Amino acid sequence: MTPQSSFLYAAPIQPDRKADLRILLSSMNHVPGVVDLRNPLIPFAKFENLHFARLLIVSDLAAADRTVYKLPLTGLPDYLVLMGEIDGEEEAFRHELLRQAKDGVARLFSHCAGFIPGSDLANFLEQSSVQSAANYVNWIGRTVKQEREERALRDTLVAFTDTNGSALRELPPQQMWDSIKTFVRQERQSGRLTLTPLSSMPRGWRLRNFLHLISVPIVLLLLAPLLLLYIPVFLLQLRHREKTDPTVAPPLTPEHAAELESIENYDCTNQFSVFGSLKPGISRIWSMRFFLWITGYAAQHIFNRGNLARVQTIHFARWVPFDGGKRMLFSSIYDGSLESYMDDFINKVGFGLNVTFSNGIGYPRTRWLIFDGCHDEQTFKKVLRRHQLPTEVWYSANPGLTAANKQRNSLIRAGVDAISMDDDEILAWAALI
Amino acid sequence: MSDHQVDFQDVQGIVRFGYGRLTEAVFLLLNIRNAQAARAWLRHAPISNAVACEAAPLTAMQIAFTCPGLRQLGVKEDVINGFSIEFRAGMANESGRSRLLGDTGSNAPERWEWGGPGHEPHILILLYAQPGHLNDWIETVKGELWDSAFELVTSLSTTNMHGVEPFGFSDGLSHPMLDWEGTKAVSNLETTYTNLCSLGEFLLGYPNEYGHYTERPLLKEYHVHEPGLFLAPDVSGLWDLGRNGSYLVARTLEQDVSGFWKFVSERSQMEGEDHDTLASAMVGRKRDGTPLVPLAHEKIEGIDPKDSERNQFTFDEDAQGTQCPMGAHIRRANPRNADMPTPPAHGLEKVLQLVGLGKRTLQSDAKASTRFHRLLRRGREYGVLMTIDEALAVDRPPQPSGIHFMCIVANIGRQFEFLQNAWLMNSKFDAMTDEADPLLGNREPISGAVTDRFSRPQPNGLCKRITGMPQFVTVRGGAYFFLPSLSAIRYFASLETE
Repeated sequence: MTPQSSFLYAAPIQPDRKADLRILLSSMNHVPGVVDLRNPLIPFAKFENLHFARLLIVSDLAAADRTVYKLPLTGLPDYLVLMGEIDGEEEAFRHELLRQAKDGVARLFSHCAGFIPGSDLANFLEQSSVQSAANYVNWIGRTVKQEREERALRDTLVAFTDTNGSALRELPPQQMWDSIKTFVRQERQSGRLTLTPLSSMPRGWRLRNFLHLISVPIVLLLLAPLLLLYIPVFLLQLRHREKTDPTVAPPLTPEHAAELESIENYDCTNQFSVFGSLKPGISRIWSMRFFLWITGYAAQHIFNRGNLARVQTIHFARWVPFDGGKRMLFSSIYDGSLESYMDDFINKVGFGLNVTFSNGIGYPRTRWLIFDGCHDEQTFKKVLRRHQLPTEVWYSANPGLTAANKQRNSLIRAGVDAISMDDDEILAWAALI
Repeated sequence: MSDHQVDFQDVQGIVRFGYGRLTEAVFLLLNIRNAQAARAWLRHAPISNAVACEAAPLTAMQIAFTCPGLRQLGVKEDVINGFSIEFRAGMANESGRSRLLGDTGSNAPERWEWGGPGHEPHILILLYAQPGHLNDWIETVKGELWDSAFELVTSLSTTNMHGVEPFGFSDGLSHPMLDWEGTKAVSNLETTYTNLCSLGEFLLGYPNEYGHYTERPLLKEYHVHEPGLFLAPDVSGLWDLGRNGSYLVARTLEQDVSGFWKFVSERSQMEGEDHDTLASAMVGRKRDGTPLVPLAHEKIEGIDPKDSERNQFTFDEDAQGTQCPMGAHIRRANPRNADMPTPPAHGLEKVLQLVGLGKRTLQSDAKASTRFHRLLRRGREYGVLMTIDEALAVDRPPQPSGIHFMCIVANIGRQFEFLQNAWLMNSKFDAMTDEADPLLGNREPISGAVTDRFSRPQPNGLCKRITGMPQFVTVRGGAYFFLPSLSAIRYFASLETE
């Protein structure tokens, strides 16, 4: 298994070149929402470690709402963002990216301020790299390659068990399992099926992960006296703000809604990118960072096997601060339609949404940080949609697979690899095929 | 009058009644020829309200408008902007929405007989009558102004199939019970399935399942027409054009009855079982309506006692789908779950479940809570009802059969579109894969993955899987309508065109 990581390169777009850039980006698609894998700029499918990638023009579409906080409307750059989720380290991917697509990447970023043609692109990307404040990975360690191999395994087993179903169902469980395993062994020997043995996580990663696991509680413990002193102040401040923060929720225009819908639902999986301004104040930025830090910790050490709290439809997600934390990009890859995604959000992890997003301008009023907020369902959906960016280019390495499908396939594979199972386990396993 | 007391005189009857005794019906799709004449006709139109009578009425008439219809009638843009995005966009005008609804391939709106892109009719008139009275009723409703006011787009005829849909299954068995009295207190976390739904899910101007008022047009200026609009209960000083109204979704769904039974018959022969077994598994009920899962011992709130034999059940005891397949039509259309993961837990385990740390299976949280996605169905069948033998014998039926599907919802996006997309057409419903609704699926692959299978979990491990299912139901038309209150209709009738 290889730990996943992510990359995000952002550079401010030269205002007079934004229109050209949009045209160039759209040339990478067959139709809006469907990437052309043979586009001459970035041959996404050539990167074997790349799960998802997207290109965005990051811009605060609801910037007008800033006026309720008397925040300036000018001086906010729009960014070109190239981002993705990979197996392995960002640095290795960056070099591979430049090996495969140097000209294309240079052409894209040539629309940005600070880009000097002919200069060191690797260095430019490194300088343009933006770290996320929190990251979520559906299943830490599952690679693109593993997902593909396990999908092929299931397809093979479905064909085999559909053809031989009645005979297999007659057998006692252990014999049925043996027959299926024998079939898989034959397929692997003949080379029709590949199942690369699953290695454990790299030692260095495990060590770092362990240190992170214990360091955060230790830091919290050390900070506890200060935090305890600060909590009453924080709560007073929080309630005061919750009651007095101005709200703003202009309508969503049908044109914007239609543009977003026009690039959605080509696959069972969709991309989601929202960008917006935070309410002003340094303490807000810090409390936001604190809660995202905790969120990232929970994602890494607790919710790393198929579900983020009760939501099991998110493949990857991250919160990325921009402009010194005054603005924030949230991006995710989720299963189903946006309506179902937002319903999942509201009804299953409403508290988490309120904690991580309530500092955004326009977010519906919360109560004691975790209550209300997104339960004002229509306002919440509208605010989200208004801040949602039409992802210009989106690539998925394994289309047609939901997070649950990937998990199911891994469970099927685990049953093929298993040394022993009792009869009930075998029947439950067989039902997954 | 309190927020919850409903003035039935102001609500169109179809929200409260199915007009089941009025077995003859025809649905007229109209365009407005002359707005002034249309408004004049509207002022005297005999629209039935929701006041209960001792005996069923002899006739009934209901009316609904599309967004272009409201514009044509003279409704101004600032009022139009108060309607939902889905209603304003229309069912068929954007490819994104068509993909969402599964209206692709042979279901594509470009091929529809009515309501295709740019061809939304303006008005839908629903006419119902007891046997023998429909033709007279049509003439009565038309009156003198009809021909100058309207032009007929198409007339959708219906057939009384006596509670059975064209495939031969009992239909219209499960309806949500509306909380007319406003007694239901909603919480953020309902732990048991209930069939009692907040009125605001089906009628605008009342609290919905989130305890909020669904967005709807509110007027700043309004000259009262007695009896007039209500003031909005949630925003002070605005007149509620939506209150006591709702949205009506209409779709003509043609059913290939012959194709269905031939396929079922052929595949069940291959499996060595009788055709009713397979067909019932696809539906989730036997043809007489008996559900495939046993009835619950405890009463379910909101299930009418007279329906309990066919409706008092959930799927909690059949988590693996060995009695009623997970992908069966009734399990998709109404999963009958509450807000908690299944199976339900108590005490500490429940707390852990709520934050996603409890014992989990692939299906634990795979489905959304049912209560936010209910429909009030009001459709009627059309064509000829065939027996299974007749369906097997004919090459092509002499005339098409199907359902003029209709449902009433306060929020088209969260209710109808969600249900159609996430539960019916979704090949990934309930953590499954490769299969859409066995009856309604369009069988179009998504990202290269097939959607034309149907799996039946078995107690002994491997599931039985049907592959290569053809399409049985084809969309032939559809549109989103606004079903106004009677006071809103009086407001429309009073408008002036410049």
